[in-house]
Amino acid sequence: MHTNWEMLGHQWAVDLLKKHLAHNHLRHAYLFTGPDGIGRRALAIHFAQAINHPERIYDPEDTHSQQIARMQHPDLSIVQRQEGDRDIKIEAVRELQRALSLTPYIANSRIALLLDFEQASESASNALLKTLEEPPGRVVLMITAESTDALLPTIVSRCEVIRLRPLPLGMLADGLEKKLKIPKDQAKLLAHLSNGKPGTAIHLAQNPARLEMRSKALDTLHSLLSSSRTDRFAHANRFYRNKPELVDTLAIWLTYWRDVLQQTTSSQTPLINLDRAEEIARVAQQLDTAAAHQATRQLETMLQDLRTNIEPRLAAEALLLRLPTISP
Amino acid sequence: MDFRTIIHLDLDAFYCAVEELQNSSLHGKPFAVGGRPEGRGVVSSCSYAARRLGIRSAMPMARAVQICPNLIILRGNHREYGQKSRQVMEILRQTTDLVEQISIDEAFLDVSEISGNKVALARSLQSRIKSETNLPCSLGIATNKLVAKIATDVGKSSIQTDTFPNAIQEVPVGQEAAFLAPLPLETLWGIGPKTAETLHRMGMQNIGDLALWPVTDLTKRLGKLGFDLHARANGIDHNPVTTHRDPKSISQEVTFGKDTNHQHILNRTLQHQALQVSTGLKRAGFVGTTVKLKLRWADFTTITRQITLPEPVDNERTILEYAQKLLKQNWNGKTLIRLIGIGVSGLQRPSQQLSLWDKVDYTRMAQLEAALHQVRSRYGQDVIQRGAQSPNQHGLPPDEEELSQ
Amino acid sequence: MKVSVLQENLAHGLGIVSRAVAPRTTLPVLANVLVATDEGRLRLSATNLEIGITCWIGAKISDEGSTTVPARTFADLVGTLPDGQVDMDLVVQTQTLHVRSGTSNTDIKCIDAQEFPPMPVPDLRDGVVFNVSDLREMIKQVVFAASSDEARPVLTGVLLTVEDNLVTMAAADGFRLSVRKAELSQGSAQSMKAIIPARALNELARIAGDGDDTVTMSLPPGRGQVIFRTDDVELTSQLIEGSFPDFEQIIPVMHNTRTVVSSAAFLKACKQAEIFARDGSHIARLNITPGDELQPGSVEISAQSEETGSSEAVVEATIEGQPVLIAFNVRYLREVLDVVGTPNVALETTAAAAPGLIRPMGDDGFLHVIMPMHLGG
Repeated sequence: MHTNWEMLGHQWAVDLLKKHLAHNHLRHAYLFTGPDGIGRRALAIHFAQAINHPERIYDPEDTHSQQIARMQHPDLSIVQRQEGDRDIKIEAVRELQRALSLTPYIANSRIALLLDFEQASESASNALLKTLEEPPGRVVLMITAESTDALLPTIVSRCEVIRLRPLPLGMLADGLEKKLKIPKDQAKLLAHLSNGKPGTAIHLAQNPARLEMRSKALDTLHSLLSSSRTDRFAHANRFYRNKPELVDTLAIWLTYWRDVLQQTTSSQTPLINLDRAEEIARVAQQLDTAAAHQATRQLETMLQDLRTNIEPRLAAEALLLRLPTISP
Repeated sequence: MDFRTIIHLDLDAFYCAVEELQNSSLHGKPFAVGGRPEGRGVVSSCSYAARRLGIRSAMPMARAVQICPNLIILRGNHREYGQKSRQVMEILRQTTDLVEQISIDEAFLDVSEISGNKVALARSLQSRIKSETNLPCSLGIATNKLVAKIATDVGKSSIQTDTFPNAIQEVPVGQEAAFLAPLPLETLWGIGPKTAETLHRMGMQNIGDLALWPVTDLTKRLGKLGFDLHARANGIDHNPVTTHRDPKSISQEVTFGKDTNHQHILNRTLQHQALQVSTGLKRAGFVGTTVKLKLRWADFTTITRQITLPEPVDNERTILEYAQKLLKQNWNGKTLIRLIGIGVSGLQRPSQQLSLWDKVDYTRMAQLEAALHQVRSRYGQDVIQRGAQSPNQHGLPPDEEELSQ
Repeated sequence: MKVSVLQENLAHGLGIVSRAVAPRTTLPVLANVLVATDEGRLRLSATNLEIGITCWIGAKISDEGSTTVPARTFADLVGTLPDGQVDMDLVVQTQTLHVRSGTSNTDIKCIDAQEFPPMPVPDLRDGVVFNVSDLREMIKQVVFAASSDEARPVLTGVLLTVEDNLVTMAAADGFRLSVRKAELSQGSAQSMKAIIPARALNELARIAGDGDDTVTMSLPPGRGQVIFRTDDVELTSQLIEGSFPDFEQIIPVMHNTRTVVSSAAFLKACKQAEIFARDGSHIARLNITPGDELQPGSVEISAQSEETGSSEAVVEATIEGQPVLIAFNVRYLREVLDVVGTPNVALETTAAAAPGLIRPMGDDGFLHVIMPMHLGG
């Protein structure tokens, strides 16, 4: 039962953690790395559930497990950046240290989940180092981060590092279809859209609004490509006002242009926007690699610029006016 | 006019010069002060006649003897050197307060506020030292320490003689970069063989090349050092002449480019000086009980005022607070100020809470203490001092590592 | 659940348990007080997962049941109710607690009692029985010496050991150590050893009632918890994991100077010195001079500050041994003299840089070690 702890992919990681459990060789600290949406937190939580199950197995029906799944368990401490803060504060790590110094309340072990620890302040990182150097008795630390490069090397060297990578698209599609009962075509599309990241795929599957927004954004882009300068200008004037939405849209457009660019170079890389394969092929036919490359670059630059607070309106205008023109 | 005048003074072949004073027959002969050639002795100082033959200081004495088999080797009389050096420094301090002694035979003087021709001033210093101590010296004059020091070296090497160079070299205002340009890169502070090698590989031959190299690129390659080197190559150096002339006080003072009564400027200066003095105290591991403020008005009248504190301090905030208090008490807010400085004296080692968990053998300590007490009560207080209490050592207690590990 | 209680009992009970409420945590239920019928009484419990406090109050129970009530809202409400009877009635389906008193009618949204972390059920048969006032005295004499630095967690606790009928409490930070031993009237069958968070003991001293009541302490095996129980209040605390450093080895075994002074006079002098020492480094210098045939020995206690000035006080003393000049953090001196219960106190010193030992005269159960300050100069 639950040989894969209900994870999509990452079987090797699950097997490794199971082995640690079975041989009673739990490390004091685990570091789960990989891009956002890859499943770092899910794996850490499932691992925590197994650790604190009386029989040390993964069983989602167990009371402890359910509390851990809701991140509301007396022996689970969570450290993450608080909304409105720039980074993870040292106070949070201090509070954690206090909790970890005590005997577990009801479970086998106290578990600390430190999420996106690349966001920790320098002092918070150094404070954590102290705990890693002299870990308290029945404590398991689980850290998630984008990559090991973003952490102090002294932290990384004291953790068992579990590097999670995107899944092959076929495997992810298969998993989505079989485990989440998602129709085959939809599963395949989600695998492509998420670029092999199970967390992202599941998130999309559970948020149809998100998919709808993507469709709309791509429709708009496609129609803008054959619109007049005046129309583009008018659109830019509506478009720049909502910055979060603007950033979202640009990110979606960027996936589209990467697809177009790859088509123009006849690359074998799988399409992200699989459902628009024909449309992308038509656009690619009318453009050369240089034009597709330029559009891609522009989007990347603008996304970057938006982070540094440039004037969004001017940028949006410039972007839309410079997008290539195709016949409908 | 907003530039300083710094004189660098170097006593020519100092040890040898002193030796010649003792023994005039050495004059003009190749001789060296240093260790024995049979051992691993090195040349501490050598006469100009020896230099002409290729002998250099820091060279193994055995090698020096190979170069010049009839080299006269002297063991050196360091007590005498020290005494002569103090005599020279005293003459310098009679010229200005702003003397920074950097070694037994070298010093910087900030003579910005001494009016008149600076070359003439250097000349008069040189002749005064000659007449009062009979020692030769060379001087460099420039707008900063870096260029002044290099000026001295350039001045000396431009005079080829078997006896002392007695050089005086001035680098006029604005000519710093041009003066440095043809010199080899290693002349600059901060360029060792390794950095020089890097710069050579980048295609630079001399300081002029470095000065013209894009600073952004230097910074990218060498970090802060790159930035600093670029400034130095252009003859820029803002380091003040620092005058902690004795361990009894640590101080900082500055002469303004233009006399000022601007509250903001004075405050900023005091803040900066308080920080520097505080850093100096901490670095040296001292705290002090007296804060001094020195003021020189536009008419050169100088006053020094001080406050003695009940508890010794080393922190910037307290030093600044008292310096500001002294300024307020002693300045009407209008009179133009030429120089301002902060000092802390009454130096002592700071108090420190001892730690419970240090592995110290208190039983032994107690026995020792009891034994000391017996000896003292029998023979008087000053018979025995423990190592840690001897005046030249700093008996700081064991640190508190134990707990923080 | 349907119960009736007296307003003053309810207010008292909530006041006691409220100190263990954790208003801001990831577990919302920890901001609530568990309210449950329990063998004819009403049980109020709160826990922050470190310390849990339970208080039982008298109640007229019509229907058994339990729920958890938001602590802040509940306490604020009860505070406004008139003296007299408060009726409470839980609608299980919606977890709504209906509270009625006099003319006031309120509904409070509650969280199911199932969500509340389980509180341990103590087995009091193996417990150790203390007299409340003795226990409180013991706590008072050691707990202030515990560290507040989380970097070394074991020192934020108090080491408690029970061996036969001897109980020992010890606490230390980096600079001082307090050790209190006491004999139990009833011996304990089992040996016990635990590091109890200092906060838990502080709370215990606050809520443990007074006079001749007794407190039973038990350490359920394997639970990592300690439980203190009186008739109507129970405090549980998680223990601190780790081993307490061997404090016996830092207690000085000999001295060169033994100074006996009046505790009150010494305390007064230290308080005076602290006024001047607190701005700076907290240093008080003790110049200890033995007497001779003509005059008694004396301790001169001095302190100075940049801003405030300086102070000197001389306390008469009986001094054996050699004179010594030693400096202490005056707060440490004051804190220990505050808890010395005897009229006279002895200060034993060996050297200016070696630990000082303070013992109440005539009370062998208590001792305190303070590291001196190293004087600059």
